[in-house]
Amino acid sequence: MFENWGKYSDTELFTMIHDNHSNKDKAFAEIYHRYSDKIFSYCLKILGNYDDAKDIFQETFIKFYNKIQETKLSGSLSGLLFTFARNESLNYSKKKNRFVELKEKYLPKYFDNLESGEMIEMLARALDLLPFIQKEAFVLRHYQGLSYEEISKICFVDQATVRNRVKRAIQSLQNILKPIFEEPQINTKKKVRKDE
Amino acid sequence: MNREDLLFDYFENGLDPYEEDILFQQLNIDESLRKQFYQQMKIRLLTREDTMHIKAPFEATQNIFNTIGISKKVFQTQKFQRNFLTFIQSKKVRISSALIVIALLIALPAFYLIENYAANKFNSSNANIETSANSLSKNEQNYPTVSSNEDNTSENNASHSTLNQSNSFLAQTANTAILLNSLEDKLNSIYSKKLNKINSVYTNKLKQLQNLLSNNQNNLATNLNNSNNDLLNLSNNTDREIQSTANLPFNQRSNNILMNNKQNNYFNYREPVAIDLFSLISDLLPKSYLLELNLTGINSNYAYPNVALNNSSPIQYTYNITAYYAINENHKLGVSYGKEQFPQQFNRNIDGKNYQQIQNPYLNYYGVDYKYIPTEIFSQSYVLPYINLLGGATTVGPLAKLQLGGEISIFKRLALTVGIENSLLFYNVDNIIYSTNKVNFVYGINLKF
Repeated sequence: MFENWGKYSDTELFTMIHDNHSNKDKAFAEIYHRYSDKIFSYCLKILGNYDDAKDIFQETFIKFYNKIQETKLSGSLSGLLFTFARNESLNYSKKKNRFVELKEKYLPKYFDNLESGEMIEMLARALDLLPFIQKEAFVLRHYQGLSYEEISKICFVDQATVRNRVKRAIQSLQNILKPIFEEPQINTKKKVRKDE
Repeated sequence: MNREDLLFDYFENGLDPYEEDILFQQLNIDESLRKQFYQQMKIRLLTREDTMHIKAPFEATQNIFNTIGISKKVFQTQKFQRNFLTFIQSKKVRISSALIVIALLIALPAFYLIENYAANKFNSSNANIETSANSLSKNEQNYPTVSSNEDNTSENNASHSTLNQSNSFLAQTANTAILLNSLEDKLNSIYSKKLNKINSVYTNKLKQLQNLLSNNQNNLATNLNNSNNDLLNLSNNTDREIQSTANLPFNQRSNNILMNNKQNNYFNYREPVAIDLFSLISDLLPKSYLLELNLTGINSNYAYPNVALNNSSPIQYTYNITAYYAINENHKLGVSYGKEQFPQQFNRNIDGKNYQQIQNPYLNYYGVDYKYIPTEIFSQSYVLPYINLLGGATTVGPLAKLQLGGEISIFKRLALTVGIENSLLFYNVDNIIYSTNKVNFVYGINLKF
C-alpha cells in the first residue's frame, strides 16, 4: 500500500515516463516532489517576480512531461529540468524585456538595522539588477548548489566561464549592497547629519 | 593568484593550506580585504537562508497536474505517503517512542507502589456488604445493613436494607475510618456470641447423645444423624453470618480471629478483595480484547557474515513495532515495522575488477506477523510462551524471522516480552543471491486493548 517512491533513482523515474510505463503518472509526481521547489526557486530568482515565476515554473514542468519522449537524459535529471526552466525564462524575458541595466535609482540607500528578512529582500532586488548570464550562474551555483560542471551543461558554456560569471556576479552584488555592509557607526553619522 | 581570486576560491572550492596561509596573512594586515571577506560570506549565508523558505505554489501544482491530465489523487496520495514515511522515520518520532517505552517501564513500579499503598490503606470488599440484623443489638442496628444474595431467610430479608442503600450511606459518610472501626467491633461481637452459642449447643447435644447411647442403643444411629444435622445447620448459619461480615473492612486483629477459627473448620473463610486503582481500571476495561501492540528493542548477538556488530546501538536504531489482531486467544495476525542492522558481505565487479564489499547498514523492514500462544497449556502461568513468524521485506530483499519468547504478565493487559529470534535476509547483488543470518535477543512491552 505504502510504496516508497524515494527508492527509485532519477534515471529510473525518467525511464518510466519516457517508456510510457503504467506507473508514469506516479513517476512524474515523484519527480515533481523532488524538484518542484528548486525549479520554482530558480524561476523566482531569475525572473524576480512571483507571478512570472509561477507561469514559467508551470510551463517548465508541462513541457518537460510533453517533450520527454523526444528527450534523452545525458546528464542529471535536475540539470535537464533547469535547462527547460532556463529556456522558458529566456524566451519569456525576451518577450517582456525584463532584464534591465544597473540603474542608480534601484540602489539601496538606508540599510542600517536591517533584519535578516529585509536583507534577503535586498539581495533579491540586487540580484534582479544583474545581467542575465551573471544572475543565472549565481542562482544555479548559490541558490541551487550545483557544481560548475552541472552549470556548464545547463548554460552550454565551459566551467571556467561559469566560474568567471559567478565571480563577477558576487562582485556586482558586493557593489550594489555596499551600503548594507557599511559599518554601523558610518550609518549613524549619516543619520545624525540628516537630523541636523 | 591575486587576493580577490584567493578570497573567491576560499569560499567556492577551498584553498590548499599554503594558499590559505597567504590569504589569512593578507586578511590580518588589510582591512578592505577583511570587509570583502565579510561581505562575500554574508551574501552566501543570505542565499542559503533564502532558499530554504521558497516552496512551489500550490495553485501552480494543481494547474500542472490538470494540464497534463494526471489525477490530483496520485499526487496527493504520494505526497501523503512521502510525508508519512518522512514523519515516522524522523528522529523526533524515534526519540518520542523510546521515551514512551522508558516512561512506561518507570511507571510500572510506581503503579505497584500505589496498589500496595491502596491495599493497606483502604482494605475493603468488592462483594456485597452484609451484616445480620437479628444478631445486632439495638444500638448496633443504627449502622447500615445490606442484604446478602446468598441469604434465603425471609426474616433477614425483611430487616436488611439494600446494597445501594449501603453504598449511598458509604458515600454520605465522610469519615470512613469510624465506619470501619464500628463494623470491626460488630464482627468481633457477632463472632464471640456465635462461638459461645455453638459451644453450648454442642455441649448439650453431646450430653443428649451420651444419654441416648446409654438408654437406647437401637435409636443411636437415627439420633446421631439428627444431632449432626442440627449442628451442621447451626454451623452453616453462623458461618454465613460471619463469612458475610468478614467481607467488611478488618484489621490484623480481626483477621487473626477469623484465621484461628478457620483452622477449627467451623466455616470457610473467604479472602477479602481490595478495592484499588487497578481493580477499578480493570472493571472499566472490556472483558475481551481484539488488538495488541508490541514494542520491542532488538539486540544482535550473533550474525553471519561476521561483520563487527554494534551491540551498543541505542534502542531508537534497532526496534520493532507490531500491531496484532487477535483471531482468538491462541492465534494472532499482525503487521510489523522495524529497523535493524544487517551485516552484508558480497562481491562486486567494477570495471572488470572484483571487489569484496563489507557493510553493516541499518535497514527498515515491513512485514506480516503470525503469533501462536498455547494458552490452554499455560493458562494459570504468569509467563506465556509464544512463537512468532514474520515474513517481510526490506529495501534490499525479503526477510524472514522466527521468534521464540515469553510474555511475562505484569498487569491485566500489560506484559513484558523477552525472547530470542533468528532473522534471515536475502539480497541480490549482480544477480547473485546472498544472505544474512542473525540471532537477536529481543525485549519489550506488550499492550492489549
